[in-house]
Amino acid sequence: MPGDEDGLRDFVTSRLPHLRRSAFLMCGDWELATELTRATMARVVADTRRGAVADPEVFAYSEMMEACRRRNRRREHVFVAAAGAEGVAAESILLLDALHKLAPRCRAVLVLRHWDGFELDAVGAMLDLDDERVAAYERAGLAALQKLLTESEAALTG
Amino acid sequence: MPLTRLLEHVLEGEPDLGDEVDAVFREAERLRRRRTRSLLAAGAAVVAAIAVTGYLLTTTLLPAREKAATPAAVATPAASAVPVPSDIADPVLALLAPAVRDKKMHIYPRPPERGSGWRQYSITDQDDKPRGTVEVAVYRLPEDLCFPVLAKPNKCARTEWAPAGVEYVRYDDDHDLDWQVHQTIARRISDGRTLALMATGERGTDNASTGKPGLTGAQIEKIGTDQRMFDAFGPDEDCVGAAATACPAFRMPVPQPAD
Repeated sequence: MPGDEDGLRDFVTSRLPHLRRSAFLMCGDWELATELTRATMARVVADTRRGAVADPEVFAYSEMMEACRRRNRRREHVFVAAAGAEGVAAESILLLDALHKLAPRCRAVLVLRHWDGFELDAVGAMLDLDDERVAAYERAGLAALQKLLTESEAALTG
Repeated sequence: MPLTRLLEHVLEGEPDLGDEVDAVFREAERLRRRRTRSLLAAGAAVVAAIAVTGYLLTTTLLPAREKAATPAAVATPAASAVPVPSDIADPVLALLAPAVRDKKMHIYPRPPERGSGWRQYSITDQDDKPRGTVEVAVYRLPEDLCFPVLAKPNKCARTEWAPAGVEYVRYDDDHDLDWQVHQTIARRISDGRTLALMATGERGTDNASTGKPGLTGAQIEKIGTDQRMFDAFGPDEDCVGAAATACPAFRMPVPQPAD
């Protein structure tokens, strides 16, 4: 893709919305997700132009997850609705809240596997983990999420 | 319900992307410029660091080493108020120093160390014992030169040729143990610049060995016919005329135009 500006623009146009949604699931804030996605995609563009990127998709998600991980270290409050957004369903808030109680790496595995639909090896490449570790994070993440959601629902109904 | 379906609901209320694609490319361009500036700044910093290091080394360490080599017993150099130039600041010294250092000896300017068209230096051995002086002078002599003959003052010597059009005569005199001399007079025929280079042993020793000059006749010949030695003096430097009175006295004087 180096030197192929049209291909690069097509890539950015097609991947940007997906990447921003993944970022939102990771950080819980649309404004921050937009900012991180823009910065990540800008790096993808700049580094692809100079031929430093082998697989733009892996590079983009890898950079994004690392950026979210760095940002989340400093964040306590997790969910911020978009400006002007209508009311968000209570179930969605509970899910986001549960998701953000998971460790960042565990959350990243769940987002990449269950939202973005990447295979184990691709997720491993993006997060620099071997397949076994990805599978272990996924199992643990799903179990923890299930438990958290059950507890939250019980609290709501109770 | 599978997690994927649950997550779809979470993303309801997603804000519009707007011109984010263009914003990405503008950000990429800013990033490229930032990286270029950083690269240039890093390069400039490296160059500056090298320059500062080089400056410190040449202005601090080299003169300090020269000074350290100055023996306490030799009063004249220590008494000089004139800063001792390094090899780099004094191109004549730079040409002489390697040959002296090869013999594990030291060379440094000898007061009055320099004037228009001339320089003089002292040599000490590794035990800091004086090993005589080295004197060099240049003359602007555009006309043909009669190279003197040591034993026959009124005769012209047959000259040898060094590369790049330098004719020269070498004079070695160790008959007087108290003033052993190696001298070369060389003339660059392209511009008539003539150079006299002389190494003398320490006087007053009355000993063939200790009175031997710090540089050999061959070394004096080689250095004295080196084009770089001619160019080591400024273009206007000249030991002819008014400046001649301060010039060193050579064992074999260079004939002056009035002679």
